[in-house]
Order: sequence, then C-alpha cells, then structure tokens
Amino acid sequence: MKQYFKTHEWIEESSNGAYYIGISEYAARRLGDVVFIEQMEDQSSFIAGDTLMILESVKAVGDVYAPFACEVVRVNDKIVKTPEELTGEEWLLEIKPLDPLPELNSLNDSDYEAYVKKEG
Amino acid sequence: MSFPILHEFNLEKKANIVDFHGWQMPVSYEGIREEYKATREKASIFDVSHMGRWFFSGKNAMAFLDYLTTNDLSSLKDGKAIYTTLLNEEGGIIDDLVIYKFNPERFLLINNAGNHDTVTEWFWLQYNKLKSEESSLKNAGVEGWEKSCKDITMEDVTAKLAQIAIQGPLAKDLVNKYLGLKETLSYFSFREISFNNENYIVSATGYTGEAGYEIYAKPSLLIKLVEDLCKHSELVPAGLGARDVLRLEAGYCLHGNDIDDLTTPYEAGLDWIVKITKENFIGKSNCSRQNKILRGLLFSISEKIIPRAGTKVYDEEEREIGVITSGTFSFILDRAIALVYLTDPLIIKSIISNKTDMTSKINLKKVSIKVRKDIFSASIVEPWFYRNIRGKEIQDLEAIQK
Repeated sequence: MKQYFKTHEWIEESSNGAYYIGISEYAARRLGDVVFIEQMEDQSSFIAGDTLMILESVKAVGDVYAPFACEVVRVNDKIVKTPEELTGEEWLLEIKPLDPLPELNSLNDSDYEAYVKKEG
Repeated sequence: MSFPILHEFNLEKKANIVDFHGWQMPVSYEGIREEYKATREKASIFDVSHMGRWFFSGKNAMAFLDYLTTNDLSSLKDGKAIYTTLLNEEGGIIDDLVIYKFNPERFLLINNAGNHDTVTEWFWLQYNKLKSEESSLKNAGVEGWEKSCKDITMEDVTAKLAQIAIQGPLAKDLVNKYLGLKETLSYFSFREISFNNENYIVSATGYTGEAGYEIYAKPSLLIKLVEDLCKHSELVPAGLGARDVLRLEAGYCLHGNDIDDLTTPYEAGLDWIVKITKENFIGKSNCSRQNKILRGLLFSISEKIIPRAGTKVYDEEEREIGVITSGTFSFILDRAIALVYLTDPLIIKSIISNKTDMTSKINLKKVSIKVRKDIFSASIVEPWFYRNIRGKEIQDLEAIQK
C-alpha cells in the first residue's frame, strides 16, 4: 500500500526491504509536462530531505525528496527516457533504507487526498 | 477575482486553473505539449477575454492615440491593426498594445490584463491633462484650441466585448466557414462582419507565431462559437502554458517578464514600432536609451535544462553579461530557449556600433548559465526562434554546435 508525504512523494514496499518512490498523480498534474528528469549521478547515498531527483517541467521544477536516509538501487529508465509520460502512477526510483526505518510522517490514501484538497 | 468567458467550459474540461493577475485562467487542458502541437499543426482556441479592450472615438481620437503611443496611426489604413507601445515620460514601456483602425475617428485598443488598472489610470491622467490644457488655451483665446482634446471618447469595453484567439494552420478556414467569411484576411487586417444578425470583429492577429484569427464579439456569441467548433471540428482548447511556449518560440515579449516600465522599446528590440519621426509622443525624448539589449538564447540539444527568469548569463571568461527574462522548452527545437537581456556595456557598445551584428541573423557567441551546481552552454541568437527554423538557419547553427 502506498504511503504519501506532504511533499507529494509516495513510497511502496518492493522487496528485500527496499521501496519504490514516485510522485503523486496530483503532483504530476500540477507539474504539467515534464521534459527532463535529472538524477543526482554524483551522489550514492542520501539523508532524509535530500533531493533524489529533479523533475523539470515546462512551467516548473519539482524535487523528489528522500523520505529517509537511503541509497538508490534502481532507476526507472523507461520514465527517465520518456518523462513526458509521467502520470504519477509509476515509480521513479527504488531506494533502500540505510538505517532501520524511523517512524515516517506519512499519510494514507484518503488523508493525502484530504491534505491536497485543503492545499488547493 | 475575475473569470474569463470560457470559465464554465474550462471547469467542464477539467482545465488546470491558476490565478493570473486576478483572473482564473486555464494553464492547460490535456497538457501543454498536446495543446502546443495542435496549434502548430492544426488549430487551437485560447480564451483571451482577460485582455483589456477599449474603444476610442471622436474627431481627435487619432491625434490623442498618436500622442499616447509610439507607432503611427495616421498613416495606417482603415481595416488594419498595428502593434505599438505605451510609454511613460522616461521612455519605459507601460504596456504593449494592439490598436485597430476602423476609420480615423474610431479605434479598438487591446492592452494586457495585468496592466489594465495602470493603463486605465494612465489614459485618464493624460485625458484630464489635455482637458485642462484645453480649457486654459480656450480661456487664453488661443486659436485652434479645439484641436486638442475636444471630441474624444474613451470607453472600456472589456466586459461587453469579449475576445478569443483561434490559431494554427487550419484556424482561418475553420472560422471563415463558421462565420461565412468569404475572404481570408491577411496579417494584421480585420473586418467587422454581421452573422445571424450579430456583430463580430475578425482580425488576423495573434500571439503564437502561427496564422490565425482573433475574434471580438459579445461574450455569449463567442462561448457558442467555441462550443460549436470544439464539438464539430479538430479545434482544441489551449491554455496559458502552451501560449507561453508558442510566443517564446516566436520571440514575442511578455510584459512583466521581458518588458516593463523601466525598459525602453529600443532595448527590447521594439524600435520598429517607434515612429521617432512623429511630431510628438509621450516618452519620445527618452525612448532610444539602450542600457541593455534583448537577444535569444539557444541551448544545445544535449543541455537538459529549462532556463528560468532571473538566471544570470556568463561569457567564456565567466563574466556576468546578462540576465534571462523568459525561458522554456521549445518543442519544435527539442531544446531549451530563452530571452536574455545583455547588460554588459562593452557588448552593448559593440552591438550598437556594429551594424552587421544587428542585422545578421545569428551571432554565435558562446555563453553559459549556472543552475544548481551545473553549467549549461548556449548561443546568442536573434530571438525569433520559430522564424529561424522556417528559414533553416537553426540547422546551420546545429552543424556549428556539433
């Protein structure tokens, strides 16, 4: 089940204690037509709040933030190559926590939806 | 909060709506790229009812407008429109306008939505100034006082006369067919037509670099026109997002970004709409100042960046030479483009003194911008990117960049 963050990322458990991370459909819609996805190629590990990826759309720039200290184990190359197809459903990266997971300040589906509505 | 005429339609289409100078405007419907593509390849409709619209009429309306604005209305033919600027005394651009000449005593003027209050205030200030001069001339018994301000009527028709733009290669045919217009209007021509006993003004103008029309009529008529055409033709609605990419590719300035009341038309490359030989107009003595010069920036295809306004531009020796005022991703060029003001005095001097550079189509000076930790390189070009493609000069540039 997806867990959402107020910075509009979601994570979902994959396997071996790793997680997929993507951005919400709401965020993808707000961002509009993404034309470039930039990876932090010179960085192998991240602390919570670090930028994992930069999504550059025609109108805006969106950062994908690390929800916890992690390393990137896999990149969704398909979406990096065709950023215009980003809808928010697909994962962007697979990340592995570096430490035992702390309590995450995350929201479930309906709480996130309510949060987005309030944010307008 | 104000709503454009297609607001209901926009809600129905689930447009992404944002506040734009107090107007609830659609940024996009199906996506900026799709709407862009429709405009370049077929036809799209833009709700531009948020723009400000005025009728100027009366015996001295033309003299008044010619005094307020930089281009020349007196030599303009009836049925033609011109692009012009409204300057302050210091030569800065209060707004850029399109003025339509029906006859020497009747004009339609279009201003930017974001400047409507400023423009309104300015018009009335100048009008009242003339009025008070007129009365002192009259009281002093000066001959010819009647020529000043007598018989000028200004009417803000923004609410009752709406405006939409239909742009793209199929646009003129679609509208001609719908309104039963027998002729295809040439660029910056317009006609007043009657269709089903209702009045429309159809004009071959726009802000996309594509052929097309802008149509003026009562709001209800334009809403119906849009609904009918969207239902029965290939026309799709497009928002501000696509409009911004289109206008930047065409090299059109956006007031508030690329031009403002501190920028002169000569700095913005708009000297072609300043008729400096005109007897007098507000800002005339200061408008040829050039402390900066507008150019285009063409990034190479491998540079994965979208340059944003405010980003500084550096030359090969890492000297700061300018600042970006608008930037976007050009779908047709598949790379980033931007408008930049070159502010380095040496470069400005060399551009001004070197006539060949002013007229040459492409100047291949390499420059760069820094975004985050990375450096992205670009070439300085004349800003009309889209015209350059059609003229094939971009391919020449490509070869050199390789």
